[in-house]
Formats: sequence, structure tokens, C-alpha cells
Amino acid sequence: MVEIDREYLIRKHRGGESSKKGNLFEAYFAVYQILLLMSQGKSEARFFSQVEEAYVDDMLILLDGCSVYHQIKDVKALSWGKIESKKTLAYDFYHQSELCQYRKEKFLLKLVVSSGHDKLKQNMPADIKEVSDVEVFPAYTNINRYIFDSRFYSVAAKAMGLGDREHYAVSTFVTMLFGKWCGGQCEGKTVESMFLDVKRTLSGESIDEKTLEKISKLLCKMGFAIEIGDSILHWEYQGFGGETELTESKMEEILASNDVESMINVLY
Amino acid sequence: MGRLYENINRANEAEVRAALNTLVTDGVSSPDYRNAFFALGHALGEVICGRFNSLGKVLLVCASEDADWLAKGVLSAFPEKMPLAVFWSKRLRICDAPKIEISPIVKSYIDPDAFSCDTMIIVKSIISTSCVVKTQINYLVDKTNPKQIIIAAPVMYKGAKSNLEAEFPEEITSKFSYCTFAIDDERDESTGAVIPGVGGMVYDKLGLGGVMQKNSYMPQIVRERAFGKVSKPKMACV
Repeated sequence: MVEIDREYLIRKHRGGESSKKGNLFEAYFAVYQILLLMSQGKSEARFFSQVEEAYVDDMLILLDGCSVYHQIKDVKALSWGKIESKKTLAYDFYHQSELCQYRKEKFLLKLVVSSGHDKLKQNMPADIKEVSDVEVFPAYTNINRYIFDSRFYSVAAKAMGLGDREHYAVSTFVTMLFGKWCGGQCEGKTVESMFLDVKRTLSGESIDEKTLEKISKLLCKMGFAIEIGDSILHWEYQGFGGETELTESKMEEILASNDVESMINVLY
Repeated sequence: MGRLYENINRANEAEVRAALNTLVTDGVSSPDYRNAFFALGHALGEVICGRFNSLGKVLLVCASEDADWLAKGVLSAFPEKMPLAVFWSKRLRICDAPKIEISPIVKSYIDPDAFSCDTMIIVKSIISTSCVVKTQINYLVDKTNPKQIIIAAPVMYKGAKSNLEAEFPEEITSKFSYCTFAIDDERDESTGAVIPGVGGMVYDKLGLGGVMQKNSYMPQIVRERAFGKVSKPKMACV
């Protein structure tokens, strides 16, 4: 039995949530990971930020049944601290490891830093060495600067199927992805669906939020149970059910329907 | 809070100040607004000619709404015809906090001999967030390799230079030079408009309509270069 310090985790989560908006380094790294996994063909990986009930909680990637927990720090002179002391990396990593083992999770704990990588790797507490890793990621002032970092560029270009000198296309796509991550639109999504979402927005196929709201209101008023994700409307109504792609014309038809029967006809 | 002036000399002072004032005059007509930009473009071109000794082959880059007046003014200051690249772009706000915007290029016109330039002059009516200029540089950096990049605008926001430079590595920013007449230090944070800037929304005041309409406007200078046609400029919105 593992004892979870819920109060500590709640406080940690709250702190993470409130600093999330200002912490662009986490977002830059998340975008890089999304691109990296896409470039490796691991498009089914799923991303979560500020994980609840976790000691290592900045980002979680679920991939092939493995949970990769990330703590992401753009801080100079970072150290592990002691496993016995709360609010230290050592404490959080040790307790996360204990928690994952108790839950019989297949897992990996990652510390991502902008500096001091070698020292942190060398001084990693013995108790977490088996299950932890330290990764270095550069800290730049904005997303466009990453496009001109050769490692970042080659990963992004590969993920997008582009060549060597395509800075404009990479920048546009990556900035859009970065914006969507910062806006919380990537939460719980797979790499594939994030890519699709960015492509749709850039090509102007994204769904207008107000239209979506009108559709949701109309269907709910009629008694439909609905869920909308990646331009697909999942719906149910007293034994009926289905999935409908929300194209421009389909949305117009939906909004023009004024009774359940005609709505079902439109949705099919 | 106020405006700092640069590059104003005895020869251009009256014309530049008058044109800057025209831009921020309430109720200014579209023809007057356009003429003011032409005059400012010409004056910017003259300053560039005077300040830089060896420009070599020059490529002029501009947004579609700036092509027929500001960019034409710049061209008029140079004795030789220079290649031109014109970009139509839209603006998308992706996230509010932090504020993240992009200006994807939706159309472009680039003269066939544009890519072998020594100097790239990017001219813009006003540089505030640098989003459009950043996009144009991202687009052209792979296609051309100029020795210098001159960023010119009649008005710039005070942080525009440092913001733009923060977007690129030193190998690119080392090529940057700037040319402006006025640096404003106030911005309406709700609309993003620089105060006094160029008096508000440029496309609207030029008579090109809103953001969507201005992208259906084909500048006369592009028409001439692409099709050899000289006709009266068409208004997207009357």
C-alpha cells in the first residue's frame, strides 16, 4: 500500500496550473515531443499537461501502454535535493516511482532541463536511477527561434514531410501547434489528431466556435446526447446513433433542421 | 509617452511631417491617405539611397495593401527598376494568454529575377508586433540569401526592432538595418493599434475594406508586372 500525500499533490497541481500560462518552456518542449513522436511514426501517443494526482506532473505522454511522466525545468543551478524533503525533485521522482509501481504501471520518469544536464544525470539519486532519465532541451525566447535550431527543425520537417529549406511552412505549422497547446486544445489528444487539427485550421477548414456552440445547443435542446471532437459529431438519440463529419454544408443543414426526424435524416 | 523622430532632415522634413500628420488626421480621405503613404515611401527610399553606399541588386518586399502606395513610393526613389515580392496574408489569433498570432501567406507575387538579390528591403506601413515581417523573412530566407536586410516603415512601435530580432538567430539578425521616421511608444492593448501610429486600420483607410476584402485586391503594380497591364486600380470596397 502506498500512501498518497493528497494535500501536497493538490497544492503542487494548483501551483503548476497557475504557472502554466507563463511557463512557455514546457510548451516549447511539448511541441517538440509532439513533432518528434510524429516523425517517428508514433502518432497514437496521447498528451496531457499538469497531471492530477502525480508527483512528476508537468506533462504525461501515454504511448504503447507506457506512461512517460515529465518534470520540465528552465531553471539554472537545479539540483535533485533529498528524497526525504518535500518540494524537491528527488522527493517527487521517488514518490512517483513508488506510486507507478503500486499501480503496476509501465512507466518512465523524465526530467527535462535547459541546463545542467550532465551534473543532474550524474547526481541522480540511486533509488530512482532505474526508472528515470534526464533530457536536455534548449531554452529560446520564442517559438520561431526553435525553427532555426537545426535539431528542432529537422524533427519538425520530418514530422511534416518537408525538406531542408522550408522555414516558412515549418514556422507556420509549429506556431499554430504551439498556440493550440498553450490554449489547452491539445489536452488528452493523440499526436495524429493534433496534426489534423492544425492542418484543418491552417487550410481554413476549422469549425467556427460560435457555429459549434449553436449546433450543440440545438441538438441538446432536441434531446440528443452529443460529443464533438476533431470535426466529428458523435450523437445518440433514443436508439439512434452515429458519427457525422461537420463539413460546412453539413453544419448549415443541421442548423436548418427544426425537428428530430429531419435532424436524424441530416445526421445520417 | 510620445513620438520620437528619426531620419528627418532639412530636405524631407516638411514633406515627412505633413504626411505623418495626414495619416492620423480624423476623417482623412482614402486618396489623401494613399498619397501620404506614397510620399513617405519616396522619402524612405531617399533615406535608404543616401544611407547605404552599396546596395547591389535590391529586392523590394511588401504586403499587398502597401504595394500601390508605400512600396511604389520607395521604388520611385531609385533610378533603376528593382524586383518586387508582394504577399497577401491573413491574421489568426491562436491563443489569448499568452497572445499567439500568425500571419499565414495566402497569396504571393514574386518577380522572376527576385531571388538573386544583394539587399532585401522589406517595407511596411507600420511595424508593431513584427508578425507580418517575421513571416515574410521566414518565407524568403530559404529562397534568397541577401547580404543585408533593410526593414523600413514610416512608423514603428518602440519594441518592434527588439521583438523582431528575438525571432531570429544572429546569422540573420546581423543583416538587419532599420529605416523609419517615427517611433511611437503607446499601444492600445485591446486593439493592438499603435497610438498615434498610422491612424488605425490601414486597409480600411486606404479604401481596401477589411482584412478579408483586402486580400481580394490586386495591386496595380502587380497587375502591371505580371500582365503588363496598366489600368485604373480597382477598389475592393467602395
